[in-house]
Amino acid sequence: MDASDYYREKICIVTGANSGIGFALSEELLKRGATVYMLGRDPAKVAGAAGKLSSHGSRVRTLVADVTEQQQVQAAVEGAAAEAGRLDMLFNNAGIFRPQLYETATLGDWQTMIETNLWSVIYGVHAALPIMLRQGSGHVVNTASVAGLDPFPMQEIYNTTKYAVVGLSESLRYGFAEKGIAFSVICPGDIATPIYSKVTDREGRGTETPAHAYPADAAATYSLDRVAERKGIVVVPEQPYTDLWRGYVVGDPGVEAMLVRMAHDRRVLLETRGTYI
Amino acid sequence: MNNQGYYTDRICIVTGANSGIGYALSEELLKRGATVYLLGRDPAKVAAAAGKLSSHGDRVRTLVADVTDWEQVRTAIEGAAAEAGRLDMLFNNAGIGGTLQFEKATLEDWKKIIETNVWSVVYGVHAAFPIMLRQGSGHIVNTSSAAGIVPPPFQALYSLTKFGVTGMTECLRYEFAEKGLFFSTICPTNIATPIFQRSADGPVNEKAPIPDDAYPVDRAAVEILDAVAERKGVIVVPEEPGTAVWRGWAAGDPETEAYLMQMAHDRRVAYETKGSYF
Repeated sequence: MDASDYYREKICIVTGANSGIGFALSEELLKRGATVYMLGRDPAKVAGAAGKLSSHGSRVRTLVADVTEQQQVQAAVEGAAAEAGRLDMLFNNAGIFRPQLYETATLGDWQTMIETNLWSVIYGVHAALPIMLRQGSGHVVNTASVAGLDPFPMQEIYNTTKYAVVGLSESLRYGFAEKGIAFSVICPGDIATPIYSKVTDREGRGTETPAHAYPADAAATYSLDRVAERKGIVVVPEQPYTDLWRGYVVGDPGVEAMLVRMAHDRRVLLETRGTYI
Repeated sequence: MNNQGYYTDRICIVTGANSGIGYALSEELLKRGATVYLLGRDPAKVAAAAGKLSSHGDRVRTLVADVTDWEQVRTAIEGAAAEAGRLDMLFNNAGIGGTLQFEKATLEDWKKIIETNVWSVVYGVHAAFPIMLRQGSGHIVNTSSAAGIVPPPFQALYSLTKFGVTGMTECLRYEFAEKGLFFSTICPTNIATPIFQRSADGPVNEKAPIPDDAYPVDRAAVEILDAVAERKGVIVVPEEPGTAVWRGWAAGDPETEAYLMQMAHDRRVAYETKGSYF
């Protein structure tokens, strides 16, 4: 299938569309001819993001919902599908990231991240799947992380949620393949998005975007090419993260040593400066 | 390290110890010289399970707690550690199954399986870990599943919870290696236990059959404890074919892909014609 045609005239919803990968996915979907409902919690931010894409005319639409509220998610998804007449793709992309030493994590930290990164995806799939099953077609694309494949230390709450999203998404991919519903899970590595600036040190300074971080627009282009192939797990950028994952799975001593070293380095940084990179 | 020596005189807590893998682990730990707190929700069932192991004398102990309730978990774990003077090992083993058609799962089913399979482990780790950090030693063993490393069709809820447990436990293994704390993840495939009678979407069904090809639970417990004593991270039991499927899935191997697609087809046909995948 031609990757550029896959999205033409498709009705898509993208959660967490204000910024980062969600915004880049929305922009690239619009370029490829899709109608995109950009979903976010803050009406002003959603409107601001949609405004930047206004050259795409009425194909840019907005939805306001808190992805941690099941009824809001259901109302938004069903409302968009009713307005557009169908729902072709749902990108469950909203999420938060916060590395920390486990001994400083509270049950409240667990609750917040499980609600934002995991329940949001469950709510999205739960709302969209019945619509797609009735249509006999649809594609759900969940954003996990390379942290859903590899156990990077000092971020176990995040990893718990992202591993869970990978397991969910891949199980559903097999389960619904013959029903015409596709599932993909995007696993980004370090991508240049505002996710870093939200991770603050003891003085409240945001983390700088790592120099090696992959551009968000390139990540969106690559991801949508693979999603159009109906690939299950989409690791972006493909390398070095794919080799890292496979190395971890086969118990490669080099990968093991790298993860042990990362744990040490991150512990030192977190204990001395309150930051992780 | 000598496997037998690893458990001698160790203070252990095993959740979900009434039956299945939890009971088999408890029995094998006792045989290897550990003191075992069998933890379960139902006082009568915990007492009965402990009674069957009474030949081990006062090394068999019981704790009653609902693993989905933080205060109960904390009280039980802190109480055991206080009574025994320390806590060497925690086996977060309690869990429920969830093999069902996704389109029939309710939000209540999701809540139940996430509370029982994920929050119980979070609570256990959260309660035990400060004790072990103070001691400068300890080993936490979480029961995930083969479905926590490979995503089987029609187990989306279960797989979600077990992937979460695998990710959490493996992260912690690296994070605390230099602090003297160890973490292992047990990934059982089909083991002959009552889990086949307990799915997230319904009441206990004692008539549900245990598959003929399921692996004997006592043998699974021996293999698990041998690997835990080696401080292995992910422990697939039996080791094959689970390990090969995991590697095949991660490598995008076409045969593994075809195997999982076929499983999806077979399970869908079974559900749509018989209402069950068995």
